[in-house]
Amino acid sequence: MPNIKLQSSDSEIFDVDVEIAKCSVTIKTMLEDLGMDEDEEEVVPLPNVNSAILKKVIQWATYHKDDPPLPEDDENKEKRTDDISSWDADFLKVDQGTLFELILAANYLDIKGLLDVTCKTVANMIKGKSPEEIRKTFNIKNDFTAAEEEQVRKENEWCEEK
Amino acid sequence: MASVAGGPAGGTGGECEGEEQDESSSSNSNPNDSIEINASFNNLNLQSDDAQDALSAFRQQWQRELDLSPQRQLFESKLEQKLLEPDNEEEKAKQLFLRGVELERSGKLYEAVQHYKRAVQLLPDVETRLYHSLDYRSETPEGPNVVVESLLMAVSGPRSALRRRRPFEVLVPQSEIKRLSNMSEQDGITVSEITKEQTEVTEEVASDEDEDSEDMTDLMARFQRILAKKDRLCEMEHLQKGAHISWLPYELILLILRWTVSSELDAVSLERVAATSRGLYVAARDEDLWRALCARTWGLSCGNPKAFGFTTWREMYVERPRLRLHGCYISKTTYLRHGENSFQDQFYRPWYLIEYYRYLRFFPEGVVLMWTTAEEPAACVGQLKHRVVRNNLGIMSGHYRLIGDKVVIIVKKQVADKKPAQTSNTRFRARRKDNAHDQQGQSFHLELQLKSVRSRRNWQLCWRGYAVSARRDVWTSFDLVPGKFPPFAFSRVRHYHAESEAPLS
Repeated sequence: MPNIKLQSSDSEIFDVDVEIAKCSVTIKTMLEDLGMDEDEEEVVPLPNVNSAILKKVIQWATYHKDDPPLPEDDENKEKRTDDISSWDADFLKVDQGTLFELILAANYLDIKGLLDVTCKTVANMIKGKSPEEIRKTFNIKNDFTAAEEEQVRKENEWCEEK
Repeated sequence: MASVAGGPAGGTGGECEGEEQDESSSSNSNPNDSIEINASFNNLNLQSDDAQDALSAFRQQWQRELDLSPQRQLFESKLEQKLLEPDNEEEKAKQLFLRGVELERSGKLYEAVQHYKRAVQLLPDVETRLYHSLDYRSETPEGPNVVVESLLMAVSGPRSALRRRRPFEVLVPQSEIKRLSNMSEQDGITVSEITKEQTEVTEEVASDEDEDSEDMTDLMARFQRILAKKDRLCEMEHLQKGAHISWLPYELILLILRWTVSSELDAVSLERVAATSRGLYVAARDEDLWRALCARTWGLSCGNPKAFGFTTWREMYVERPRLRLHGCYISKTTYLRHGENSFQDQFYRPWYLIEYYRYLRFFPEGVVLMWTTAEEPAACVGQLKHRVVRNNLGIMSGHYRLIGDKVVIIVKKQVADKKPAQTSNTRFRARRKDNAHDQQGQSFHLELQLKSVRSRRNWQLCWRGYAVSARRDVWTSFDLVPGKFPPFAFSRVRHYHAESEAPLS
């Protein structure tokens, strides 16, 4: 298998199987458009991804390299969501900072599967929580004035009925 | 400059006297226009509460007269005259220029260009000079007010139209003005840009000052204005190492919110996100999200909110009757059944209390589950979590349509599993008979009406029609005796939406 060299923002170089690297649509397009050949000793710079995150991304891509393309029809969708891979769940047991950096990297590298699973993880951290709990979870400052907060509360009254 | 600037500002103030008399402190800012009405208003203010009513009535009338009367045009032409009066050409040019800015801001571009042209004819470098004079004044002790006055005068057109109640002399912190003038020095921003910036600043300061004023009606616009000057959506509460949610660009926040709402339309979580901070409020009120919610609730052809008299997609989602998806509608039926006499004891006549439940669980896109069982809700709701039923408990699945506040449901009794019989021959035969019966299909046709219970919207489903068909096109209607068909009441089931399975599409 031919390899490709990926360089992280902090100049660490990763030697990766081309097929795995092509998980990233960004890299795939780059290779196809620029016609980079595997025999060339060229390095692909990824200035938006640091080595720690790139390592995680490669780890994810390696595990998922044989995944079948996502089924489109609704029937399969139901099935697919039932067996959310426990590997992914373990993979995403990371601190919040890493999670957000993975989202940014997945978005930049255009890896849909990784973006889906990371966004979903964040979404599940939000769901079912009160505003105060969400703030606490994500360390968000409450920048409403008292009057604004009251107004938002009024606007949201419809969904807080018990 | 200051005196001329005072003219128009005072003038507009006078024009709006009727609306702003309650902020009587502002009256000292326009002494030259101290109209008698003002005094009489102040007197009225001092009187009792019923005087307040008379006052508000008078206010409204005054407002109407203002809108109708030709005074406004008169006033504007007066303003024009005043503008032409100043003794030296430089002042005149500056006034024309500022008037142009004012017109530009109120959308009268053609007139604005004319004013700019005249100003430039009189004084080619009017813009630079105006800018320098502003800059110079901001350094002098009495600077801020003068600057603000002239700037506010420049924008008083739109402001007076939008919020006439506000006195024009809004105090802007000197630091803000310094910041602005410094910024303009660096970037070479023209006066009109400064005034634009300044408007935003004054508006922000102003809206921060009177928080319970009319600004609160449109939080979205208010927050967008505030956020426009920041480079991130939200702030950290405590300093932290590593990435924070505010590092994510807006479109990724929206993507996460789509996952939060999920294919199961969890709008409640979205509303909770909106209540966390200004930035997330703006994101969670994004019309695209609410449009998608509406489309998934009423179908792609759900129509524009305007057609239903709503201003936004969110308003339509909240106000228009819809089925609740976050739990089950449950109807408990109780009746007494006469038992048979005991053959030993003729006096013993048993009565049975029969209790059973009907459960309806709705999913997006018209899928519904119906279950009639004697089991208690706590034991049942878990079975209705997924739309695909994998058990043989007698849960029927079907489709629904929402027409206004009416729900039409058709469910079919599920065909029993066709497992190859591995038991004895007789049982096999019995099963086949059952299958034959089932495959013929028993269909139920329900018509229900959505009702709200006090403040709880769409909380109840009342029976409007119920029919069953054992054979094709032969329908038998049930007599909807109230005791036997009590309305369904909604019951929330938290774990239905605890996890996101797919993003809102």
